[in-house]
Amino acid sequence: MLKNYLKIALNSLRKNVLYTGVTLFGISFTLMVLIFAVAVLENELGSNKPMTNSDKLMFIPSMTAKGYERQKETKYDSIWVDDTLKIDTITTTKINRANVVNESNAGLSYSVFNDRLKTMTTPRFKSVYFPKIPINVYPSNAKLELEANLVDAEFWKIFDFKFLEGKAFSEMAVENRVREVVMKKEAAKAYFGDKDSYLGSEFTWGSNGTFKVVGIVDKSVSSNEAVSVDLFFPVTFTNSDDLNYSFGHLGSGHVVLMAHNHNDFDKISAELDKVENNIQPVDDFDEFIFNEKTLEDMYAWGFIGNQTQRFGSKLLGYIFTGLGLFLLIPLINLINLNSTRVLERSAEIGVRKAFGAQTKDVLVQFLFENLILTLIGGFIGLILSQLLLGLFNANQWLGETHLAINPMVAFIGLVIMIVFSFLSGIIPAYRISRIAISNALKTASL
Amino acid sequence: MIKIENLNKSYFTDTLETQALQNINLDIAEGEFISIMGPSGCGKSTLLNMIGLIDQPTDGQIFINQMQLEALPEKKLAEFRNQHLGFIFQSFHLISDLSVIDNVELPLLYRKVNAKKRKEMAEAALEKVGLLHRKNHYPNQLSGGQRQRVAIARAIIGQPSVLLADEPTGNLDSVLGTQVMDLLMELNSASKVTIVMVTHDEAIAQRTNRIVRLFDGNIVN
Ligand SMILES: Nc1ncnc2c1ncn2[C@@H]1O[C@H](COP(=O)(O)OP(=O)(O)OP(=O)(O)O)[C@@H](O)[C@H]1O
Ligand SMILES: [Mg+2]
Repeated sequence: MLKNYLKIALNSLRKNVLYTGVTLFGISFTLMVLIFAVAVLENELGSNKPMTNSDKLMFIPSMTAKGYERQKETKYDSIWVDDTLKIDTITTTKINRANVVNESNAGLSYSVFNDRLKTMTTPRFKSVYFPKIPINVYPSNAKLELEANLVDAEFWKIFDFKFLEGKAFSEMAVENRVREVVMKKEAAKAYFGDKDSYLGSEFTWGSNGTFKVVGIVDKSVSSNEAVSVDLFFPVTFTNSDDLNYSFGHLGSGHVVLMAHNHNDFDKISAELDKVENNIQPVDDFDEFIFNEKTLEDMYAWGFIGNQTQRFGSKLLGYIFTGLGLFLLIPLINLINLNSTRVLERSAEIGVRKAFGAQTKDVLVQFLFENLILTLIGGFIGLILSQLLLGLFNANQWLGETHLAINPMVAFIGLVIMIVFSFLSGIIPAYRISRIAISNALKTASL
Repeated sequence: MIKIENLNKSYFTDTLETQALQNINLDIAEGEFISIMGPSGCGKSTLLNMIGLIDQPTDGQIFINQMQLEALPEKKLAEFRNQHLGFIFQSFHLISDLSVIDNVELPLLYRKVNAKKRKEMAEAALEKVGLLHRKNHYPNQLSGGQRQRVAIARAIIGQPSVLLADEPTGNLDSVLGTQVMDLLMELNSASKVTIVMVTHDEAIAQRTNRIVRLFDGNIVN
């Protein structure tokens, strides 16, 4: 029975090249896009080295200083002193929080981190880094543009880089300003040329002098600024201009906190609020607010939103809504195609029923046909996805990616396809199998 | 064998009631080969569909093999058709996506018959209609006469007691039509199958045991 269904399914698919082609294209292409989109997101936001703790990270890339409107009220009092009228003025100043008159956004200073954030108790690790410092070097008379992060020792506990050689610099080394550097392998190769080992080689950073390579790390798949750069120097070599802008609070540092677990974010935010409240008003600024962000928020910031607001979940919402709508198009198409296909085959259904097929036999037949079609489409979709992801990985079109098929997403995508192709085949098949056989037989010959 | 009593069939469209059959009474004996004739629209196909249990009468009774059938639920009717009836259509109604042999074994798919047995029976049926050598062809690779012979093989594979043929020669020229008619006559005499055939061709009808004439939904004799 099933063999017969398989035969008719394959034959009818083979003979209706256009229908089969359109349907297979719809299914496989949709699945491919779905898999690709999720692979990109996973690549960015999933827990891949050095972002194994991606769901526990809370970044503080900036803080906002706010100054509110001052409302002055002057009262006049008059009194008679020795027969002369004396006028007293009393001035009171009120702060109107509804009206921000001064606002300044910047990174964090080294001291705000050391004095106020490093002592926090809710996060497990706390790190400060000064990101994306451009470094131009001329290893063999050709200009090489690199980027460096200046990081503290705890940075290496949060981001679990894969060390191909050596290890990170220690807390002692950071404190004592030991000239050590950790490099990405690609950068070391570009700077030193292809070598078996780069440990102990000396990297010259302009007027800052030479630094000894103590660690070589593998590339990072995430494009997050904390881990995407080429070199890592001890934070204590940061240019003093960057350490501190003004009031001792603002600077160009970024802070990353690592929670004990994902559910601790609220606690951390609450503790940050407390820290904010302890910062005294300075000059025209009444309040300093930390703009904490999750990894998703950091990623979303590249597309929508701004530094004071968090858009991570919104972006993901948009992306998945978009993917859902995208999925809908081929599905509707599938339903449409299937309805007309089944109509074309009403005479076949009539013949089968005349010779004793029950309604359920007809439905099973169409289910089976659609299942086969969908599975073939899904299989092609998987192959296409693999090719596409491989292409992106090999050519690094999205930076240093390591895109991979998420089996769960592939499975869910396929199941959605199967469900829809079932419905799209079975609803019209059911309708037709219920019309009188004599009427079904009247339609055009087979 | 087949007994029809006070059969009425009306078709209802939005505004119109068409009385396709009026008070039909008909007895057909076992092994009889009868033809139904009459002008277009007189109700021939409707009558055949009633006997074939693929359309429901408005009124009246249908007995085949002493079983009263018209009121049975669809599932039972399907079983009965599968076991006892065979159909031949004017436009053949072969499934173009299936090979000749796969078309022929179709009725057996709805019985519990294994693949090997199905193949044997299909080959035997094709042998009877003289088309065994074409078993792996597809319907569109055959001539009209050959297609109708394949359809006949399909109709007889389940060894039905009644064959219902609605203008089986209607799409064929007279030479091919005669061949098909020869085949039906042969089946009727060899295996005692009862055949009810609708035809417009007087010469062909004359070869059968009896001619039932319909006019405007009534039997006129
Ligand atoms: N499904 C239907 N709905 C409404 N009227 C129908 C339907 N089927 C048949 N009729 C009507 O019933 C009458 C008998 O139709 P039937 O098909 O039995 O004629 P016929 O004798 O087979 O004609 P022909 O020789 O042209 O095949 C006709 O008037 C036809 O219009
Ligand atoms: Mg007719």
